[in-house]
Amino acid sequence: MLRRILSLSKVLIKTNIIDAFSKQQGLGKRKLSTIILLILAYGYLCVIVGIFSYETINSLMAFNQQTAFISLVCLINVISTLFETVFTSANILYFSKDNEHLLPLPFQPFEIFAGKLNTLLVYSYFSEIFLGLIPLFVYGYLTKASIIFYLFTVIVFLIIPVVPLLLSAMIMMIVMSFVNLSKHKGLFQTLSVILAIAVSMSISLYSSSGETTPEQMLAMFNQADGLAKSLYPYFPTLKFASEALINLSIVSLLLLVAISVIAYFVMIVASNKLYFKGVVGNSTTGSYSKKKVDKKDFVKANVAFSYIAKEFRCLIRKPVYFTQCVLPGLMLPVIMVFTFMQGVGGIDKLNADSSKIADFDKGGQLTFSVLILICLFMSLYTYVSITAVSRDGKAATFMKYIPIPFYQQLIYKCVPDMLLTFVPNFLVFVYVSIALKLPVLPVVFAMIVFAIFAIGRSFFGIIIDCKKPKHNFTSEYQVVKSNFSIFYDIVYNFVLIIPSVLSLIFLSDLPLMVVFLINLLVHSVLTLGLFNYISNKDFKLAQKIY
Amino acid sequence: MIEIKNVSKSYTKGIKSVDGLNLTINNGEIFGFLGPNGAGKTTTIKMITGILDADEGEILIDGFNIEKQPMEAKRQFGFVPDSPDIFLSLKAIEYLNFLCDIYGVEDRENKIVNLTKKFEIYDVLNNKLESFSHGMRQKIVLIGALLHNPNNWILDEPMTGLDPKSSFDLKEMMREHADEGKTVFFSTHVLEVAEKMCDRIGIISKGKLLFVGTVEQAREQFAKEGSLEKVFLEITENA
Repeated sequence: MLRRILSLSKVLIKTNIIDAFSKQQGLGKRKLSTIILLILAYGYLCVIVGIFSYETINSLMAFNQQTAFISLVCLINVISTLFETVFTSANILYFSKDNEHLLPLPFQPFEIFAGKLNTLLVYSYFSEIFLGLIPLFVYGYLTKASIIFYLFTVIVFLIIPVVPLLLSAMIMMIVMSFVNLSKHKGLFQTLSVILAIAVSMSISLYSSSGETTPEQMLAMFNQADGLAKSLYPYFPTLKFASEALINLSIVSLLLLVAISVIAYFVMIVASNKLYFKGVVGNSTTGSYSKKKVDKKDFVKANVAFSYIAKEFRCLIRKPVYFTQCVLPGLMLPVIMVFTFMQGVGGIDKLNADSSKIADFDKGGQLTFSVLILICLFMSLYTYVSITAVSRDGKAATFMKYIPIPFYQQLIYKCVPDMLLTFVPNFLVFVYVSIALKLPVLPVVFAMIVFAIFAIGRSFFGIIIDCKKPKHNFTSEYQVVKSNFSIFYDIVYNFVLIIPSVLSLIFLSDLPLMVVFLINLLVHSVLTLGLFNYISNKDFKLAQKIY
Repeated sequence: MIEIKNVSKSYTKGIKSVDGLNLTINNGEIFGFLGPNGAGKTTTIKMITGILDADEGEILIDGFNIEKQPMEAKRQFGFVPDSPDIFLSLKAIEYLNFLCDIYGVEDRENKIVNLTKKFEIYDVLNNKLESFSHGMRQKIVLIGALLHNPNNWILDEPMTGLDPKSSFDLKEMMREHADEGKTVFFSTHVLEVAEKMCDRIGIISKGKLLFVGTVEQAREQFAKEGSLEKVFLEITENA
């Protein structure tokens, strides 16, 4: 039995996580450049988390309250695992494509459940590296901890996500057993992600409400410590994890392991009764709408319009794609504005300060450059064209047998990305410009440059997606979550931030028109170059789609 | 008419998935393309439809070269791929309308209504393809391929998932289409279908075309008394 579970876990982890990266076309044999980029990306995140932890622990050490940091890290790990796995558990346990292949195999329900649970556990370790392991290693370094501390940290790191994960899985298992969520699967997935973003937004608002003094930070940590303690009855592992690390208590560590292991096996036993009930109900196709087609359903449309409409429909109707590729890009400008308003003390204060901005930035160069920088940052989260070909899965070959030139189809596929990158930011900036009474000309110039950037970025995205398409996925989540190409998209944004930063540093003495024309030239040349590549090398771009 | 002239394709250096294929499918003919798994059937079909480029040789569809005149060539055929899982977020009617827009189909309402009623799928056109069974999706993809009334039908395992009535209707339609002087090229594993339907068959194994001709010719040449199954096994096992 254990061997079967281990074997299934290995296969599921391999197909869900490892292959998701390595089987991406073009990444079969990892190139040195790809490995370097990967190391840089992980390294960057590690450094950011490390610096933050370093500063925080140092501040707490001034008050001799550094152990509060351990409680906070454990709390964050428990909450983040709980929060993350509520959504991923639904997708991996119930909505995953591989269920159709696993159900007919002679596995006991608990064996499949355990295999999937282990996959979720490995997933949670990825975020835990940043949220748990690195902060605790920094803590160990600063407090000159012994080797035992590091050993305990690794054990706690491996064990702490188990109970919150089981709780998420149990919630999903109960819900799916009694409610036919499959009928509202799309709605569930969309709402869950909106909820996640709303919570992040609240945290962002809370954390950005002004400067934090060391005393305020200490008060905050005491609050967090209090919160952690109030959760002890519900998450006894949280208590034992903190105690094990703070006091290096072997008893607490053993209790942490024992509770987690017992909970794991109790859950596996329960799954034998409950798991298949929800999965079987979920794998059947739904009933059909009886609404008949009528005359208005047979409307002729222009090819371009029809193609773009198809792209929008496929993008927005698939909750995974909508929530992963579109929603963050739509929400971010709104979050930014709220955070900004909160930070500056509301719209009234803004009105009072707007004249100061006008005095400081008489020529408008600063407004222009800052707006572009913000827009480039905001567009980081729209992943529409970078996944446009991959999202079609194996049906992407459709592009190759219909009588529309391939490059034209690529351009049509880029249109949703251009609009979804530009329009939300444009609307938000119109609002902010009016609120701040910004001069019109720099705002208009910034929007023109941003529009060209949005076009260029979508071209760049689709070129990368054609070169490294990700057609073979077991779950649509992998198109975004395990798609390394998105990193190239981010790099593109960061590279294009350079002209704006240079404008800010070196060109602020030049007239606005000159700064605008320089930026316009850079973005236009790049965008035209990318367009030219798509138009003339489309046969090359089509080669990996078959 | 489909002409395949000395076409080869390799995915891995040194191993030819399709090796020097020469084949002409004439107008007015139903041609069955047979072969074991991994023989090169789908690769050949992908090259005919422009999904894959041939390493060597050329393919003409009604005289248009698929690589040099792709748009003209692609207008000459309707293609049913081996998997009907296409744009599942679209409603069936949206998918069919989309294809009508691409191919500039006139009188789309009549064509869609007639074909969908024939395949008994008219009543569910307002539903998303993801809610359909495999067979229903197959019907929609098939209808989509026929809407622009192409001269050449290229069908990769078209009967898979179809219910007996739809399968029967499709076979009738294939016959009618060929009788109008047009071409049907299809791959299948169901030898009975090939035996009953095809004017000629081609058997491919390990990338090489081993036999082209009528079923009777195959019997004469290989296993005089046997079924097509026996002939097929003899040809492919001796390859």
